[in-house]
Amino acid sequence: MIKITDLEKFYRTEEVQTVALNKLSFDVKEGEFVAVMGPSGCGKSTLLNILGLLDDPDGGSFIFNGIEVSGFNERKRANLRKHNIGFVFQSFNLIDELTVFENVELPLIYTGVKAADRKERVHEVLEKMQIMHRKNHFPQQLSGGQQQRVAVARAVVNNPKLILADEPTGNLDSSNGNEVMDLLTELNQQGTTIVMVTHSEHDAKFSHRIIRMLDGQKVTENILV
Amino acid sequence: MIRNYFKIAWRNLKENKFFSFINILGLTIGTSCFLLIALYIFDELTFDRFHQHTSNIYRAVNHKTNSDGQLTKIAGTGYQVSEKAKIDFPEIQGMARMITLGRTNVSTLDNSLVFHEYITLGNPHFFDAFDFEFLQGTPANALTEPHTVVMTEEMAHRLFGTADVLGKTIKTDVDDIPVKITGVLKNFPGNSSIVFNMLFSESSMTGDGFKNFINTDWDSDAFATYFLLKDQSNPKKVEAGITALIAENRDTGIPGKTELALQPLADIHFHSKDIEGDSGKKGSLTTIYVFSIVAFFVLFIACVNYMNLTTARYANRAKEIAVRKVVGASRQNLTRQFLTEAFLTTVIAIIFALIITKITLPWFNSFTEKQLALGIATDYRILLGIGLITIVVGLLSGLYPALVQAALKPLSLMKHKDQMNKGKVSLRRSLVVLQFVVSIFMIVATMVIYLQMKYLNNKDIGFRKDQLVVVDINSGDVRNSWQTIRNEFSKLPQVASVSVSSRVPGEWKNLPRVSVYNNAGAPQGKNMFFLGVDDQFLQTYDIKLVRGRNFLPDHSTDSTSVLINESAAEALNIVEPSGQFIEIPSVNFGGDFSPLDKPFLARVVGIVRDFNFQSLREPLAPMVIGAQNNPVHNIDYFTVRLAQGNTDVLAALKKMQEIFYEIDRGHQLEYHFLDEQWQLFYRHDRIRETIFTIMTLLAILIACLGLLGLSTYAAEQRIKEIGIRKVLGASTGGIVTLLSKDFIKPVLIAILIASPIAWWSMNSWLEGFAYRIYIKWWMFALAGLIAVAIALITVSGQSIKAATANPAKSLRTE
Repeated sequence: MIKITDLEKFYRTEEVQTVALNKLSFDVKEGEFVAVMGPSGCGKSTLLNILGLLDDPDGGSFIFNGIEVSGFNERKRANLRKHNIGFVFQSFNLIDELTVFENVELPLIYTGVKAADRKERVHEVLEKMQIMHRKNHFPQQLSGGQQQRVAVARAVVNNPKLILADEPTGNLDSSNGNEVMDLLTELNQQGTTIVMVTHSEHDAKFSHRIIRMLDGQKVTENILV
Repeated sequence: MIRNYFKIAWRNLKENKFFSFINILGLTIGTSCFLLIALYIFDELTFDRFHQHTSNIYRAVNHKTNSDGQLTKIAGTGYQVSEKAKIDFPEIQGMARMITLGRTNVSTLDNSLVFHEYITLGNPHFFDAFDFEFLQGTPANALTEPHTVVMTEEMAHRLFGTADVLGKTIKTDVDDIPVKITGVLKNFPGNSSIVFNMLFSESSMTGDGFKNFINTDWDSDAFATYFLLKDQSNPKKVEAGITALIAENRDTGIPGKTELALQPLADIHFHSKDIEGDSGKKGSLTTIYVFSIVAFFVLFIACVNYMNLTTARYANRAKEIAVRKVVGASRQNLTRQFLTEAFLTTVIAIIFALIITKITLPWFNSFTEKQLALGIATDYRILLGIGLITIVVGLLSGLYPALVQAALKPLSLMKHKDQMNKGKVSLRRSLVVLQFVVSIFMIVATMVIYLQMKYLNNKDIGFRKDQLVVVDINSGDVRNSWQTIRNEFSKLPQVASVSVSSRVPGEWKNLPRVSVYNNAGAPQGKNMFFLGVDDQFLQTYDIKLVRGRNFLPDHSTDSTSVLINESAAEALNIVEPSGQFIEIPSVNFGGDFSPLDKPFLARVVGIVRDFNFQSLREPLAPMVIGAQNNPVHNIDYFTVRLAQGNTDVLAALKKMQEIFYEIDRGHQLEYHFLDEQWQLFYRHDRIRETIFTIMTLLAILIACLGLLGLSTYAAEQRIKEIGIRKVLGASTGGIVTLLSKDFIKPVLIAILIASPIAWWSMNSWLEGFAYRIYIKWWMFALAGLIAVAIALITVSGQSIKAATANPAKSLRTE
């Protein structure tokens, strides 16, 4: 599903150029659950942003579903993203002005799903995430764990092939964290590919494979399953 | 999707009440001003366009060139010109002709109500050309019979207390025959250049004098004449044809030539400045331009507020924008969403603005002398305009923030929102500068207009204009008995002195000009104003006699004596009046110079100080002042100077009326106060001054609302910095200065930009006055000071609040 080869990314300021990704190569097969680990500043988030088509690499190749996407313009990337990729963030990133239902509905609106279908899909996902009873609440009215469940619901509502999770349990206590990890595992078992960036060894153990990074490069790769 | 846009837009409005309030209030004020001015301009631009065939109606304008080659344009032509043209030229579909003969008493048959009204005559087919709405009667035969009249509903109400007057009769002083009312017109729209209270049929004038006059009249300019041409006719061809017709028939004894020009009806309002004999309301395109610019300025300031506040605050929405992008929103999706928000705000503001406009219109109408209306019956173009302005304001306010916000990269929004926000500060500051450029410009303009008006008001005009009552002479009996009346008036305890004169200052109509030859033989005639007065004139008006003597109380010996003003003395090179002869061979009552029966040979007996007879836009002109029994111009007015102190004016007026009745039973006392009449010279300047002042205040208010919003936001954003500075020992004063400084700089820059622009444009305006003030540096300094002070007051509240907050608290919020 994902094949990156010699991927490079630099950040420039007026005087210094920092290497965020240094000729990084690996691939992720369909249905795989991969955890990416490494210390702060090693390039994990940059990698996730490129994988999520939020950012463009400065060099190397990125093949997504058999298509080279590294040169795509914003419109093409946005289009590919909204149909194929779901995101889960450490800080949930729910829109405060929208209710739970509306937050989850958002991706469906942007992919042009009809209102009646949207309602059905959102309800289905909310049921699955066991958050249906809070559908008319606003994010501030929910606990952290509940917010992250909403975020996961929003990530999966479009049935994406790939879920990118950026420290999904980072802001949660352990029991809520475990709940979220169980959810991701379940999604993975149903066929969704997951790439998760994490600091937590505990969370990483839920994955099939752990890629460890340092200074923008892959240092080791442990296959767990 | 749209529903979603609206939902989020509405919630955002509700969530950020303070900023929404500032945005909506600013836009409401801005659009209200804009709407009022737009209605005013629309009314002006649609003058005379309510007739179905406006574009085919032309006014006849005589272009007369005298023997010296001097061209005079007069709005009128001879009776026979229109009579014959109507037959000769197939292009002419209809013709309307009117003439105002003067004023007469008009009353109901039982004399219960008497009004002094103009006698205006109209030809039988007058209403073929125009679409004046008849409430009663039929246009086609309203003026066909003798002794018939069409009147406006207002006139009908005045006479009879009802508009239901068809078939009723009135009487006039013209003759004893009752006049039948054959039509009642709906009151004229405010933007009609053709207005009258009553229009009598031409055939009502049964006297031989009038008949003889019209039977041979090819040369006068007496008849206001309008031609309705058929579609596709070429007016130039008709013009040339009528000009040839006039040339064939005119009196060859009169030197010079006459050409006829056809002026489109729609052009009359704005393009008649150089046309004499046009008493209708005149419009000024300059005023229209100035008002348009001001209206757009104010609207622009309001839009800038929205842009600034919205872009300043987008850091707060960074997460939302990023999340939307991440879950699939395209740039267009987001642009549309932000535009929806701008439009929602705009629509709310426009609704408030419509309500405010509706409420303020009566007041606006009263001082602009208009009949503007806003409602469902309003012209569809105005309603379309309101729709258009909603779109323009929505786009103007929303497009920039929408594009900026939608173009942001989601990553930068999530990670570096502070840095991102700083990048746009310079643009925002430029917009604030622009707002204040406009505000300061308007402060300077208002100040200059105010000072100029004050200057005109207080300028020594060479006579004292207060306490003067001007009384019209409207009948031969009164004119002949002027001495008796003057004596009786003088006896009244409220009266200090009385004089008679041919014209009075402020009553600018037809102040005649005379050609004056020095020593009866100078080669070039001098063009001077002429006034006929009695021996009491100088005293009544308090005009200083500089040299020589005044007229003698015994007028019989002084009929050939004249006084001249200082300008005339200079032009005629007379230093000491000693009975020098001057010759006045011809006079011009508007139009062409025509010779007097015999040249008026006059002796100069005195020189008076220059005094202004006209608006101070006009320079002082040389003037010859003849005695009341001069051969050039008859007396037409009494001027009564009221005694100083506690004068019972009403009692005096009542007594004067009684004195008139003793001489002429039917003579109504028609009077005005000279200083009030004088103010009319500057009526439009005053309207402009008022509008400018109001717009300036509102523009500043809107700009300040913007500053208030920005400073509130800045204080919020810098709360941590302020906390740290305070922990490190900064004083409250230091922090207030720090925060305020940011907002004062743009105002200072604005002063630099606005000053030269304001100087140039206001200087151009002042150049239109013969008597004017000069723009001084301190005016800019004062305008700047006002702007800075207002800006400081606006932002300091927020700054002080931020500076006095407990740092422990503000640091904890991070």
